[in-house]
Amino acid sequence: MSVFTKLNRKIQSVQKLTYWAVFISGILFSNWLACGKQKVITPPPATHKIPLIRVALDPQISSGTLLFREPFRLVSEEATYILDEEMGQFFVQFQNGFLTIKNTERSFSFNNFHSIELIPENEGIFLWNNISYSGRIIFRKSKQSVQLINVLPFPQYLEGVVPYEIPTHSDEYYQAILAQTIAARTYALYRIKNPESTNFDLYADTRDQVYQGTRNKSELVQRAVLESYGAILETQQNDLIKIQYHSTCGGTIDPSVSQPETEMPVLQDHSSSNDFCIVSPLYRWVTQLTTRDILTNLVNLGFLPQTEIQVWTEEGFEMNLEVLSRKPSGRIEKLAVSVGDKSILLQEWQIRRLFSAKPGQLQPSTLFFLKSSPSNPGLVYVIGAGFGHGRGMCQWGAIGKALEGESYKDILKFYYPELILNKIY
Amino acid sequence: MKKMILKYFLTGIMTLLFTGISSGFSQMRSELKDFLWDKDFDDLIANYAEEVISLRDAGDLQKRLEMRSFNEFPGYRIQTFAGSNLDNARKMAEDLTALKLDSVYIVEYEGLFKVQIGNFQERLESEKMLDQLRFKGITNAWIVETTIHITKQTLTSPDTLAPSRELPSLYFAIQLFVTKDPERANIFSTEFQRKVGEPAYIIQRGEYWKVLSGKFTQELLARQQLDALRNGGYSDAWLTQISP
Repeated sequence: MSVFTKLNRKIQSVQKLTYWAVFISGILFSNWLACGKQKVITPPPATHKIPLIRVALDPQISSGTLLFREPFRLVSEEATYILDEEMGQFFVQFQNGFLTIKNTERSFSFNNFHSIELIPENEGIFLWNNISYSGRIIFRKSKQSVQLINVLPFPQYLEGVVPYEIPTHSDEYYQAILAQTIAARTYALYRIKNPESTNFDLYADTRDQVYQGTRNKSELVQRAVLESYGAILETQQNDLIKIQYHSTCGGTIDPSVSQPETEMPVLQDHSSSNDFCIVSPLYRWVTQLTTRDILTNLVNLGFLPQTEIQVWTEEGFEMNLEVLSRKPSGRIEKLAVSVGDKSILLQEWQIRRLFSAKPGQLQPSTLFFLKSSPSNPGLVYVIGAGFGHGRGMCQWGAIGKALEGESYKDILKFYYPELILNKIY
Repeated sequence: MKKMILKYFLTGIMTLLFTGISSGFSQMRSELKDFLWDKDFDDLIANYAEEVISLRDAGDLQKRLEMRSFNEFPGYRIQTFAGSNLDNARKMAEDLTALKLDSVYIVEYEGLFKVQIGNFQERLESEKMLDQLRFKGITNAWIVETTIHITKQTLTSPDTLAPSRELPSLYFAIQLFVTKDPERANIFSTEFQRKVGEPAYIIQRGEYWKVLSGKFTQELLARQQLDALRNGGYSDAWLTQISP
């Protein structure tokens, strides 16, 4: 081999190396450019398996409609049926011990069963009573009723909870949305460890957390679920607690732990410096009630029989309302009503029912005072602040803080000063 | 002392803010909203809370009494007939009405139909009427003590208690019900009088029978009564003008 040939080969190998170097640099550069344009949030590597959660969409179904957006399997104890999404909407009914799932093409009827499972393929989107959900469905028999349970991965559950717990329509709320996501995750995880029933972990309504599936998808919430991946609040001793939060504190957080089942550590009283929820529409509110409204609410609460009040309403009556005690936050703890020869003591949610302008519903909060009408002896004004029990994080306060530029960590530290952030998956 | 003055001043403002707020509380007045939004709730409780409140409900009975267009007083009427035959009572009533002396009533009590003329607050007035009746040939009549109804708007002006011949050509009345069936009109009228305790009367217009209540010379008073009746459950009542 001549020197020329050797030199030529050397040059060729150097050229090849240069090409590779340019090619690799190009790829690296393009990746760098792409990263610079958009912040990609990827979930951190899971250290634990992401839990599934069992949500009771309807703890006692009578009837409803079911529609799948993709092929699905119906799995009973005896057989598995492969069904097509083109079969359209099914009508579901539980009557006389029979669970019927039928439409014009197919009809299934189950009597002696423990559970019927409906498993969609891929994304797992289905509509129950025209609300879209993801995951799988289980019809579980429980004594004389059938429960409809939605089983789905934890992050998807959170995406269906947070939009119903906090406003999500503005980027400016993002830090509050993050804080709410962590609080909701903490609560749900507590319920997984301490389920409402052996068949499901929690309810899909205000008994636990409002969950409405994929009905109101929010990009901000999806981002918050990813960014706070696996983050929860727990005690210094790494104990999981039943965390509490509410809509609007009205300026005073309630440090009380008198509510049964509450395992919250006693919070500091922020009563003098907590007006961040002034942005809430229920920061202050006023309602008016007549003696008749209050009487109706007492009947609905079961304190008075309907027959008795008919005599009073015909002949006239006097009614005395007396606030017996208030909590340090100003919320009414005990209230007495005397009407006719009856004297009735009310506490907590009963007080909220008593002063509700709409029978059967709750008045916004127990943080209120009464004022008599200057012109009508049968009328009382109720002047109140806030919405909810006042314990734990104030959601509108969190939004107020986010608008002030505070981070989710600041928000959580403010409302849950005794708790620490941790990652569980 | 200064604190006390300030407190009374603020309470005054609060009262002013509440005065004039009627129904529709969902729309809080902006002044009240600003007032409440500006203050710590602790301060609001400390300054304005009424921890004991006494409310009073007059009762439906009282409301119905207030709703009536007349008041009840002890008074007198002239009774010209008492018997178990309604047709005879009606005939007697027609004869009396033709004389145009005063209002004529058929009162039913325990199966007995009584025909009476009145009303009179003073016995002397009833005695004068008794004389007039005797002069007209009705000798078998006597004065009875009874409860009489006096229309509220005429209470302060005894002159307007005069017989119906002094009424203007048209008066305002509340039309409660209209039907082609006279029996249904009768039932409605009886039921209305039982429930509300106010007289009702029936007139025929063509093929229709109308149940009416009240005779008002002033539209404003008629409208007040109309509102009261509508609030009392007669939402289909409306104002009408009727000739005597």
